[in-house]
Amino acid sequence: MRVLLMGCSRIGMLVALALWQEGHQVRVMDTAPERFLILPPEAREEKGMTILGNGTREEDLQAAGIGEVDAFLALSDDDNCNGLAAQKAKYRFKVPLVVCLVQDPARVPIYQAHGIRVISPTQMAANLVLEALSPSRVPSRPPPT
Amino acid sequence: MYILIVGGGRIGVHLARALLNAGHEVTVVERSPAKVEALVHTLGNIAMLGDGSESAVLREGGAERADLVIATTGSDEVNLAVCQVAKGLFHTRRTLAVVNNPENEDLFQMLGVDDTVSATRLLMAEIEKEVPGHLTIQVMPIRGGLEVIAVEVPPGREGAGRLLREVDLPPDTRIAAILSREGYAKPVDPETLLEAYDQVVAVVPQDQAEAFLEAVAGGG
Repeated sequence: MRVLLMGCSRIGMLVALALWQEGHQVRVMDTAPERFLILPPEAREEKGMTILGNGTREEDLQAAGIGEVDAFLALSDDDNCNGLAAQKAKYRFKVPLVVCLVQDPARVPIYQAHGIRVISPTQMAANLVLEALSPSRVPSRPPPT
Repeated sequence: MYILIVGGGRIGVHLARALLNAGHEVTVVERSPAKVEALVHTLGNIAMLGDGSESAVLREGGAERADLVIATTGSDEVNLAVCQVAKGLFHTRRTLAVVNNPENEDLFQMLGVDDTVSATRLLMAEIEKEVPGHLTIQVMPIRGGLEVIAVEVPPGREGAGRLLREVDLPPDTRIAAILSREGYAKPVDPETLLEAYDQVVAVVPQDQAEAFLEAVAGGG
């Protein structure tokens, strides 16, 4: 599978690394070169793995080879950039699978309506915290001695 | 009408003033505290501090009852998000976005933004209105998010009579040529004197176009 990933965020890094280790062709794009440093050196130094560019700009997306990828993942820390880039990937470049990360769970239906797979890590984390707090799991505090 | 403007920069402020003068109810959402303070100072208590692409802020700003939401920030991803959130979550009747990068204009329309206006076009109209005399501005988008802008130095006030080094140019702006009224090229040198109707040609990042025009021709 050929994957273009925008945003070398923590989530972006984890996803890129896992795909790369599975043998997929992954390209990670970011506007700030220092963000690539969170990738382990062996991945970072692979030819074509990191691309400096702005994923909301068509010229940069084209230079990163968006025309040939099977999936585009908008995983930066900025919901607005993710939204614009994901919708561009979908409509301008007809990428078959587009994934978009949004911190604000309220935005999920907006991008979903455009056939984009939207993931809200904040909602998922909140759900996990609430699950940890479910009555059956919270041990009662021992009486004071 | 109730009109919610996101972005209290030059465009947002002028729009707010014009709409208030026309008798509309207006709120401007702006994320810089200094700009909010300036807005309140000049236009009264119509500004709200916040990130207008945030759904909670739009709700607070009254997107649900707004007849029109106008996104005027300098970044297209924010302007698109503002309009999509307003429309999608709050069913705002109409949305209008300023488009900074021309490649985004038809995409915005396809994604449900009701009206789009090119930022550069708006700025040109605005500056022409403000600066007396005939001012000509030409803009050509080129690669890498840059524009070639040619602007005339207006007579009088702050425009003419300055040395190039005295012009407060935005970062990453490169002056390509300075042409006199008669059409000969002046040296691009910090000590070059700018005279009325000189044409200054520069390569400017799109998001700095406003600052560049203001520096060379603005009397604001």
